[in-house]
Amino acid sequence: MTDSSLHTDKLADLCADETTRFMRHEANDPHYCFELLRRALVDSSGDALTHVYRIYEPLVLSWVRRHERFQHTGEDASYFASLALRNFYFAVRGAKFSNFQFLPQILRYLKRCVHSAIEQYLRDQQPTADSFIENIEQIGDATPLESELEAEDLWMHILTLIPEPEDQLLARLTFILDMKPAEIVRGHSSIWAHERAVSVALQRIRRRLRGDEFLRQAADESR
Amino acid sequence: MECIFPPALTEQELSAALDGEAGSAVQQHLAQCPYCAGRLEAARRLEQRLKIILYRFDCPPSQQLVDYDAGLIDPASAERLRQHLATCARCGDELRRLQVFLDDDGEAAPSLRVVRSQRQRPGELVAQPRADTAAWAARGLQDGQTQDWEVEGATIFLELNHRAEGLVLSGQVVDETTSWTGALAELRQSETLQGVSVLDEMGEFHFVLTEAEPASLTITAPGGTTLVLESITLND
Repeated sequence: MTDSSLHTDKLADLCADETTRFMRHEANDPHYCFELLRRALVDSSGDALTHVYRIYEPLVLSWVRRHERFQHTGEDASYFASLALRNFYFAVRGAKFSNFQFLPQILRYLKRCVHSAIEQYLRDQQPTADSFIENIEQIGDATPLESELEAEDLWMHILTLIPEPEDQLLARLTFILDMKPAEIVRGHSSIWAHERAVSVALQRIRRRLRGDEFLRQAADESR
Repeated sequence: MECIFPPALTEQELSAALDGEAGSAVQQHLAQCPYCAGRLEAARRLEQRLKIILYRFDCPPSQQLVDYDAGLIDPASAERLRQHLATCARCGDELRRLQVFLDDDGEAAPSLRVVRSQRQRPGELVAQPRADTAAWAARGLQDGQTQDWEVEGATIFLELNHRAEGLVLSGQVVDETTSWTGALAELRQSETLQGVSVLDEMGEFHFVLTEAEPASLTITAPGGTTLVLESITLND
């Protein structure tokens, strides 16, 4: 009997057995799991998807717990496991499944989805970490596209206030990438040899930004 | 108001305070002078506002970064990403951490128990049963009992039927702004996954259950918006 003719429940049993072997680092046959994933992702079979979740959720959870930044999130591991599985489904379903020929390749991609779920979560939290509650609510209300447009307009406005390329670079490192002076020196020592040089340049930039009426109003709105 | 310990702090001293690098004299001044403390507060407010709006606004999403690393994006997008990576330390850090994570195949005891917290996450919309249909009710010509849930313009119609194969929970998402075709519905009871279903072109889904325990349902649209229905009672 070929993999494709097996009933989904039988296929899932065989896949679960092989996954147990895989997790014990024992020799295992990847064909059953690959076929189960194909049915879940290409055929959109609810039964196959349910089995995929049941079989792989424990593995995904273990990956979440091993991620070096998971502890920084303050979230429970199951949240990221669900998120990673959903992102994986939407990224690999349909014709995109043909990008993968082997089970280890597709599982490695699932592991990548764990990484992106945690990193994106932390990225989204970062700017609000030490901010006022009303700012958090304002950002939460904006759609990603609205936030992006607002950000792009604001950045273009800032660039008009600080036309010098070095100032623009420093503003980017400070306000967009949230880098501290020591970090900036490490990455750009040819421009700023020491932290004091960064501080002096930053002070000049800040004075120009604070002198701008539009930016002052924007800051006042956050009060 | 004026500085009570003139001269007032200079722009450079305020800038150092913003960076957390002010000396003890400046810190002492700020602790005692409302005028200079107010100037620092105004500067900090502007700084925070700028960082909130601008933080990594032009960085590709993390999922796109991993797709790039996996060689799964088109050549033009890959070239744009390469250019971005040349100047973005944060995205470079993300890719370096990805490599470490992928290379780590150390042992991890998998936990079979999935514990879910009830907090609301970004992108999640928590639906509530509509007041007039909070209890399951017979409606029109339908065989089963129905209940409607709502959140921000989306309505989730649920129907419960007793069939030979078990308790059948069917549903449909109706939303004028978001397409729910191809969305992913996950149903759990007592934190245990009962089923996953892909919504059809009508936004419909169904699950067959063996127990009438309360259930939670999450439905995620292809765009990432997630509807959450907590504590659905299945006793009609």
